[in-house]
Amino acid sequence: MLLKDLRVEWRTREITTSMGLLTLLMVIILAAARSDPTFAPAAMWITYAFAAAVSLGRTFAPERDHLAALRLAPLDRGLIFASKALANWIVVTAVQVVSIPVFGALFTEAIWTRLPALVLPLMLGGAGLAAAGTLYGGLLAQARLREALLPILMLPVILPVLIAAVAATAAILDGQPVAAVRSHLQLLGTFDMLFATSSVFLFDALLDE
Amino acid sequence: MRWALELRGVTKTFGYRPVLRGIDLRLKDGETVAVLGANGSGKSTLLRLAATLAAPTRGAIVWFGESAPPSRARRRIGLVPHDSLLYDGLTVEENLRFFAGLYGVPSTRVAAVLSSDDLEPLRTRRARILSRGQRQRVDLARALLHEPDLLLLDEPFTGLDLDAAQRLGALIRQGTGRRTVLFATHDPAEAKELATGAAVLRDGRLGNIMPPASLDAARLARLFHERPW
Repeated sequence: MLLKDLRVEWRTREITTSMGLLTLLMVIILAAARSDPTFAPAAMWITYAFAAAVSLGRTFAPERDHLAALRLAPLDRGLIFASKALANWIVVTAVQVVSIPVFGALFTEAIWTRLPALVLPLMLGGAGLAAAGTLYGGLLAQARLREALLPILMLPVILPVLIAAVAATAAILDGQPVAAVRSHLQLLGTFDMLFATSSVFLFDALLDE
Repeated sequence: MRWALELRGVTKTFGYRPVLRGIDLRLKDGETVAVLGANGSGKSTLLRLAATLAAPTRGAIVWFGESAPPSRARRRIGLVPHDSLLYDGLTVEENLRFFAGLYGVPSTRVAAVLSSDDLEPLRTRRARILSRGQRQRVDLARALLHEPDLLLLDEPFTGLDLDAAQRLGALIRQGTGRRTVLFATHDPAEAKELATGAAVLRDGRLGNIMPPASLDAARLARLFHERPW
């Protein structure tokens, strides 16, 4: 399932392209408005959140006509969520990898020197966005206004992820050690775990009629 | 007697609108039954219920004589819905390998299916560019990959030219007697050609399954257009 999702995404590039372009667009817009280097973490995570909320709604686009096949298959439906969420996490991570140099060039050079320390908040924050985007993408798979509804439903839910990710990124870019942002990372990890675990169980009901 | 599929007084409503009303249907092992009905008569809903994709509002469905949850029956059911379940972005081989993976079907079985005269030429083609007839053949191969005991087909011949319809009919007939087949159609001639029995669905009510001897196309057509049950 994971390989199939990644293969379809590689060929169609629907999520990667829309998320990548949105990310680039927002970075440029926010960079034009910046007046303070500490603006970078907020700009970074608002960009990722918005791009994810808009793009991950397409997670189930290839399945829209195939949900019957997945529902009929004798497999744990939690696995379907897990594989979709993992595929989305890989896509989000790919977009982060590509966009980090842009943030470095346009916002603050500290990103280059603090890159190893940034990996953990980027990955944990990205996992939260992927988990929430996958669940709401599935919830709205059959909805006519899904692209409009997804950001409205998803953004309030991922607020804890954004707050913790922005705080952790800001502290690290400010030169603080990773240990100093442990509480933020714990919050991100807890959110990821709770959201992914509950989604695995919710997904079963979600796929039912 | 053990039935491959048994619907007991099944009613299905969407909102306040009843689509199926008190359906009783029993399919023996190896039987091929056609459900005839006009568009909107509830054929697809009946097949979705039989496929475990929806739950009845009232009544009960028993698969293979077991009072087990529908999830247990899924491994033994194959479905070809009206709209193809193939992924457009994947090739025929990739599609079949993906679905084989969902059912734990060994790759040797996929290789054997792909080596058939029908599928070998299509192997590397993306599903997007397949004709309706080719798509239906691949969809049928997909539904049969795990060798289901119950095959459900929703209007399998719609949109096919004569040659494609004949090839698909031959593929369906290959399993006659070995598996139970329930297919929906609005064409009495198709029912007569493929089925060992047929029942007419009108206004959500299903008539009795008629024996093969009485599968006269003219009579079916007449029943089809008669007043509601």
